[in-house]
Amino acid sequence: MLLGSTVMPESLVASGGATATLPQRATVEARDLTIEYERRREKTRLVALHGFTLTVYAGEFLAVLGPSGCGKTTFINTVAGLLPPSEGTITVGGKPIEGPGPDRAMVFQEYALMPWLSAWDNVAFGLDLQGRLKQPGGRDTVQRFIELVGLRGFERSYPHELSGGMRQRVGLARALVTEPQILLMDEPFAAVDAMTREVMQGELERILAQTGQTVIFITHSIDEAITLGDRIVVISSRPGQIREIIPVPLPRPRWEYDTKAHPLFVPIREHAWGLLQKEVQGNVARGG
Amino acid sequence: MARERAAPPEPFATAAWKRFGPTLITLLNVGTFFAIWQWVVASGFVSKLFLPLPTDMVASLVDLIQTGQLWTNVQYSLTNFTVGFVLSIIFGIPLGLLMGASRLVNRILGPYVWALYATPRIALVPLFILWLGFSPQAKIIIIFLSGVMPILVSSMDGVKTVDQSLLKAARVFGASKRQLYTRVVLPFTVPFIMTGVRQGIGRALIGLLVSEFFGSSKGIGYLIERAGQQMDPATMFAMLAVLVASSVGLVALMSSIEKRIAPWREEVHV
Repeated sequence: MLLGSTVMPESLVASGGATATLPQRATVEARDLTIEYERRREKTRLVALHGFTLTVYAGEFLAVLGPSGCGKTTFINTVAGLLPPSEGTITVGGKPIEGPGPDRAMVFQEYALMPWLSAWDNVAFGLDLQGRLKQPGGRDTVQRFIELVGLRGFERSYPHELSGGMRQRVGLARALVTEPQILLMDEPFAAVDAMTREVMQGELERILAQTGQTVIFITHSIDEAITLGDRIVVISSRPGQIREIIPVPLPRPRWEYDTKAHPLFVPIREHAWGLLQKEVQGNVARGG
Repeated sequence: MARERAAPPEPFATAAWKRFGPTLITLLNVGTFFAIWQWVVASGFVSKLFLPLPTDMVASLVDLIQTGQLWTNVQYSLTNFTVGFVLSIIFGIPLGLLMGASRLVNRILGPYVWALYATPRIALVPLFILWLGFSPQAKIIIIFLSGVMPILVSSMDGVKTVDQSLLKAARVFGASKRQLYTRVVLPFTVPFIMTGVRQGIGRALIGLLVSEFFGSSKGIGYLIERAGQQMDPATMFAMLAVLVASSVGLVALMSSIEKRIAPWREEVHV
């Protein structure tokens, strides 16, 4: 089923693929999902996603790749329960998504940390909202995740005292501490510098190896999608539709070697770029 | 982290300069200012009728203190100011928050608030004197109306400009509608409220003086006004100095409260 919806680059097929290790239990399932917005100022309806059918498997790292404005964020917001589907269905664990829930948590591009809370309180924020901080072991859990993401010693710092990379560690810990099944990441490393970004990518893989979440990771960086993803969903824009799903059979753990030097990296990159090129050119021509 | 590392020992002179240097500079600065002032007036360059000698000013101040006039009048002004300004806070903050949060409340109260905001409050002074005479109540209302506006508008702006990404984050983590307000909107608005309160102090002081200039037989404003009528610049300047000192004191008090309540605010150095 996975291969059925996928056109593999020949070099990948020739290499035998590594899809055999992919977990196959579905967690998020979108069927013919269409999301429309009312645009107040223009008085038009914007179709952000159209006929979007996608299965996310439990435990996989799914990278969602597409040009700006293609509806990537719309999709992740829908999974988060912030946007109701206009048509079609979307389920988590077989149940329709009716709103946010503790089985899902999100990491945001611009961190979205509360500036009035210390790093520790920010990490505890979600847990506290869900009334779980005061339960026995709640505070210990917070501390455990603070240490897991490497924030020890910065517990009392306010977000404005932290670097971009450190802020995103807070954002990641805030999501992980609620121990969700699904971690939604909306271009989490887009706002940090390139060096920090590479470090954070490695850290993320290392952390996920311990926590074992299903991840839906939005990015507009092909390299990032390949470095992190088990599969890459390439989305075309206006309306957002799935162009192709590319499996990434690079062996894990990937932080232990230079993924860009792996012989499969370049063919996947070229294939993804080929898919995106027309999209991006079209957007540039439209002034997007 | 930096704060855990012990600072290397500094030479005594450097440490003393760091600690007392700024104060010393301010003292020298202000001292020079008064010395030049004294010289300009004493040399007859400017008439004493327009500018008193700083030493005369101090003498007047001492006289005001000794006769008990200063305290009676300051007490009168301070009482009116406190009552009026506390009312500004009590009404300004909740009304501002409500207007920011609810479109309905905004629509209902908006016209009155903006009409009052745009009208110079001084125009209303004769009205309150007509209604309430030269009573403290008239002054309190003028102080209240002057002080409440910046507090209300700032609080409202705070709610309206709440960072959408923070609301989104709270919603994703399951915040109820009530939690959105108590855990995001309110803390976000605190610095705005503080700014409004700080501006409100300035406006309320104007209200205080205006109300005392117009019709009063007591208060700081009255003393200043009377000194002007009596061609007594020394007393006038002494009272102005008292006013400056109390205003600076109030604003400084406000800043320190602000730092305590909102320690997360970035200090911006331009």
